[in-house]
Amino acid sequence: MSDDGLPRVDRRTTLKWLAATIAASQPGCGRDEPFVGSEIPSADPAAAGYGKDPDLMQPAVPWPRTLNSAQLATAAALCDLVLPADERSPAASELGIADFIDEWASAPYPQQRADRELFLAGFGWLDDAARAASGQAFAAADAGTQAAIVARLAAAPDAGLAPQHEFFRRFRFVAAGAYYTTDAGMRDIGYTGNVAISGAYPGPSDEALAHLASVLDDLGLDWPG
Amino acid sequence: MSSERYDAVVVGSGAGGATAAWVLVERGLRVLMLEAGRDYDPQAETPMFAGAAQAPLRGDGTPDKEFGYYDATVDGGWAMPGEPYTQAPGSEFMWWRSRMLGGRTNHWARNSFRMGPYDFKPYSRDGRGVDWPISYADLAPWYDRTEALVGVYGRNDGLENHPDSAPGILHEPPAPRVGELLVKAGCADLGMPCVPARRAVLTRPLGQRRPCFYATPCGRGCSIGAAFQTTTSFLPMALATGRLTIVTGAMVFEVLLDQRGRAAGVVFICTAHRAEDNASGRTVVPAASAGETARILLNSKSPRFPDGAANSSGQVGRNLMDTVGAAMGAQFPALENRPVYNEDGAMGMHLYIPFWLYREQARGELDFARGYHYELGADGRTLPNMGIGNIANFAGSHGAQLKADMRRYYGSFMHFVCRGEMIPNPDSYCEIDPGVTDRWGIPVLRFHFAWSEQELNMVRHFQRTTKALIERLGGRLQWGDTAAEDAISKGGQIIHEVGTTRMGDDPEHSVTNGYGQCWDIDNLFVADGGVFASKAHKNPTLTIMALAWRSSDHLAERLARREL
Repeated sequence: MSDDGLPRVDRRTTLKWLAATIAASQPGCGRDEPFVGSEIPSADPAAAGYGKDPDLMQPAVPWPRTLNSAQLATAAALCDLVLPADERSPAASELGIADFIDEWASAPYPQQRADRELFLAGFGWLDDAARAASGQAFAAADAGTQAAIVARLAAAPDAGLAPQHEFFRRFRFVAAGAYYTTDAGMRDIGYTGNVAISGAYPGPSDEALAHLASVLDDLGLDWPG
Repeated sequence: MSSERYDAVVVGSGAGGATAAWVLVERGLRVLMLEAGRDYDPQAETPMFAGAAQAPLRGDGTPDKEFGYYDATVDGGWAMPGEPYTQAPGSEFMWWRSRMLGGRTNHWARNSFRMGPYDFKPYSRDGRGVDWPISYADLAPWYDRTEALVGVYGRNDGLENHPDSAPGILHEPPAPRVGELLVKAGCADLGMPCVPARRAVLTRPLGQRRPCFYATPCGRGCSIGAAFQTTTSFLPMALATGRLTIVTGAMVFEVLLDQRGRAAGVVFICTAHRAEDNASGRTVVPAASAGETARILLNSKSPRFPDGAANSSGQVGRNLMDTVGAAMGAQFPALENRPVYNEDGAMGMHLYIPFWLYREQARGELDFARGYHYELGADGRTLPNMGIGNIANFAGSHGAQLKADMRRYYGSFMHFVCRGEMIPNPDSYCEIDPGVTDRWGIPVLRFHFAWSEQELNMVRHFQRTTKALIERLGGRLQWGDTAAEDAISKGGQIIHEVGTTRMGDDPEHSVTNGYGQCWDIDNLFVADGGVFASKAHKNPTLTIMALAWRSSDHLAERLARREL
């Protein structure tokens, strides 16, 4: 136990984390020694991908979801801490991002298998950390405990938490990718395209051009003729 | 197959094959086209407006669909089940195949730059590689014809070695985006050109094809026909004449020869029935891609041609070239928090940076002999895909701060892509692997590939120049500043492989003459990128089509004169 109340991982565990991170294309590595307090089911080894010629007009995910309910709850809690509701868009879990984490972590492809190892180890560590601090699993812990743990995860990695930080970066990448490809996420950041335009492409608005003129001025560049 | 003897048997339905078929049927000839892949209907199969959220893994690339779920390529990619290719020890080569009607034209970037006068005579200019047997002037009329029928947006800027098109051909280029204008301002300050790109995308109607409506990614294919692909243009046009027969699922592996050693047709596997079949023609036009055509010729061994058909020069498979690729990415504070507008445009480049250092090169001031251009990734507020997760990690925040940061940084990234000329070298070629066959029993290609210091020096120059440009624009370099040996693309990775059946003046050192006509077999005409004698930095598809058109005109004239 470290002085901030969060469990440190020992060197042996760190090496296992790194193995999970680095040996990305070797599904199953490290599973012989599961993390305390977490159950790590393997993705169904028989699950197939969608193949070289899937139906592009009727997309479907052919592999089963494999996260258990505790893992799903942890994923939902974490993705809402990464992407909470605000006045412009809903919380990640309301947009189905936790379910997408399950879809991603259950996919039979090398990148996703590697992420699965990382995510399941990370969920286990979150529960361990939450139990140590509050006696509850991460999803059930009080908001203050959750926030403190995520703040530690998100901080620049120190010697003890580098693998956990890598887990958090990968999780944030997948969660944000999933979030901002929804209609609500695209609206939030002001993506206004993918609508058919008749006639010539209008190009930047007057307001956008005025903004460009001001930044060119700041950079000491002439308006491009 | 029926026993009909066609005027021409065309192998492949991509850029070269479809152009050849169209030109030949237009001249009244009867053509059989054999395509290894399946039939493909862009009207019915293009997921134009489908959302990322509806696709598995948000449409992100996987080993099944390397360029993403919605990429037009079906039954293709870097690796295909049962259809391997191999690498010689120490070589890395990536071979993209699209086993489908229309081939790679269904998903290409549509960048369409003419080669210039220097590009056809590189040996004369710098003593490296070989000259083409034809000049720019020889091909210019066919560039005009091709551009007129393909539909290319761009502008005539009168730049050195970047030929103008004939008046009235080019379509109006779309207005530049903010990021592109920023790059253009930086280029002006550094003495670099930045001009409208040329892409095979309509901005006015052309026949049945509708102009771009500035939505839906071109890589998915284009059901309205704005972004050029043979399945919405040459193929339906040729079929409408009633003189083109297309057979899909026909994997050609050998050229049939008659008693006199002339081409009599081809042998293929009917993939649906796993049965061998053949087709006969007065002429044979391989246009199966540089790699696949070389494979067919090398696998066509006979007592007369023990090293493969049309290979008395030993040059089939040699002189394999790809475009030199490298890229760098940066974040630009000047592009943060900017006013929202629809930045999709034509879903590809509106502006680009053509090569600008011909004089310095001629004076010997550069340590590389050939040119490169920049393709700009300056459509920052582009349709989000999983890659947008990188912005979250760039921001490094979470919670309310992350949501604010996403609004701030979305649209503030640009990337810069090097597309350069590779000089042919003796270490880069393909041959038949004596120990490996594919699922049809056809011997596969083994690739050898090596870059030279020429290409590495070009990448170093690109990196120095790009860093200067990013710095001038106040940007923060994010990726791509690695050693040139790591930064340079793998062979084949840019999917511009050419040169394996090169044209020339001399039967001893080339496979075909300037019309793609094989020296050894005069009724065998290669109509794909294999005939390139050099690999200018300009993207090859437009030139493949112009050459296929010119060669097919020649073939038709010779047939009409009963010379074949």
